[in-house]
Amino acid sequence: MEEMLILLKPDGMIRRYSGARALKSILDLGVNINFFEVLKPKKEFLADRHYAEHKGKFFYDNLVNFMSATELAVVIASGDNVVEKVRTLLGKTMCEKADPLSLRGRYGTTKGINLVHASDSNETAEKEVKLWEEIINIEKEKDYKKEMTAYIKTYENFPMIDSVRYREISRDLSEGKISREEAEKTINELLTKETDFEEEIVNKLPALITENILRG
Amino acid sequence: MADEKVSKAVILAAGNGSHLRPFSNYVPKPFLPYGDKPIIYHHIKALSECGIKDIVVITRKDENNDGAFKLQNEYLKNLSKDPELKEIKIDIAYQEVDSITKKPRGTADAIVAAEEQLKGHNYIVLLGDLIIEGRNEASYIKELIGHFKGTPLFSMDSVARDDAKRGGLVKGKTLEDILEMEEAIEKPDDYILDAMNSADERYNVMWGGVYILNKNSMPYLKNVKPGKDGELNITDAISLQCKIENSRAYGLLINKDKYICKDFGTIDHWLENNLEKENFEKFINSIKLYPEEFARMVHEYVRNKYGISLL
Repeated sequence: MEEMLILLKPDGMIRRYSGARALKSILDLGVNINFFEVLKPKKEFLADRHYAEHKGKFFYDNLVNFMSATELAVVIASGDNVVEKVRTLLGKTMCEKADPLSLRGRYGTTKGINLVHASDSNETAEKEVKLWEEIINIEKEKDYKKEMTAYIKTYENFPMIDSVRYREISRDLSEGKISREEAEKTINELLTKETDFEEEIVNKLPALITENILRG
Repeated sequence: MADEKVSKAVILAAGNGSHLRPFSNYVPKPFLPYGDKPIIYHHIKALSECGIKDIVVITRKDENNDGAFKLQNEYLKNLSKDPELKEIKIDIAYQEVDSITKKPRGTADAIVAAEEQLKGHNYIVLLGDLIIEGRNEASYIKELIGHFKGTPLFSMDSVARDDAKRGGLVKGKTLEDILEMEEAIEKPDDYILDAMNSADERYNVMWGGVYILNKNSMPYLKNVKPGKDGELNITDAISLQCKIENSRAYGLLINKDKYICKDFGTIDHWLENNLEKENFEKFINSIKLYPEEFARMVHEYVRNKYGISLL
């Protein structure tokens, strides 16, 4: 049976409702949950190990800084065709290009700030699960599905801001209708309305989001 | 003696429909089809059958990115031509949105948009995304109006603990289906529920989305403070009115032997209501009248989620 790694990215963590909905849809696929925990990997782990193959690419710094901005919900799921099932559910990488009914289409923030990371092939899945097992501790007896359900229940009725709203700002910034400073200020206010994260953590996100938007 | 006549109605139809994306990008929530008609039509019909012919609909201007509201607004403007509704007068009022979130500020703020039209009236308020259907011709709206004695009145449900934690818990003395409210607590914590010591673990919450407000309610709707969800809520305005006027509000239980609550707040609720046997055929026909892209998405979603073809 295939295993894969799924991560709730910082936008999915901070935007509580959207993150919870994404996890719920993954559970609804009927896959097995072999691990679930909220944790903050070391930045070096993300930079040198998890994203090693992207080193030197134009989006690498932004990606690593973004992914290490907050703790992440880490999921290992298994089942027949699990990689393909989850990838289909997620939709295309760029939120605006993803099918409107897919998870990224519905809940993804904007552009590559796309809520969820999921292993993109069976080969990557095997590699990623093995890699992450170095930093997590899987307790065989633990009911991880129950843990994940409890997390979803805590946040699925949180106040939410439409992804539509973030994408309007993204578009206005790309078209030069608003300045980067204005965009960051508004994004900060919006994130604050849908989260219980501390201010200093939320404050890290807007600049990383606008950087991602302006990179195209 | 208090004036006990309910002479107007307000339907709240300016919400963001956030939980119904991407469908609400094309069609506002109250304008989504339920059976053969938009949800809002069912509200208007139900009001007219109770003798309420003067209705204000709170909607949103269709400029900028609110293109979806254009459909709803044009529909409302032409509705008086419908032969079944010819005696009905429909007014439109527009709710503004917050400049940052681009969302309306809540249900209390919505009613304030109709301040002019409502001056000097007691009025019944319906939320656009909930319908209470009667079995055997029963009408909850009619029953609620019958219980109005001049002070605010709200629909109420008896729910399990988990649901009570999410809703507006009401405390007070009950007599049959009526509760005389002493206090309303939004999203109560465990210790509050424990203290109530409810033997059957059922709790009364303001739910069902029907309210009757009186001529004096407006200042409280205007001055209510944001709730825990950051929104200006009717329920909080009712509590404020009771506190300041030292008056009582009453809740009328939605008796499940007589009524069925239909919730349209999420995609799955909306579709499941339509996929019921008695609505299925009508639903298939009514989607054809909506924008093509919208119809395509409905077909795709229903096929993937429920394995049902609508073609």
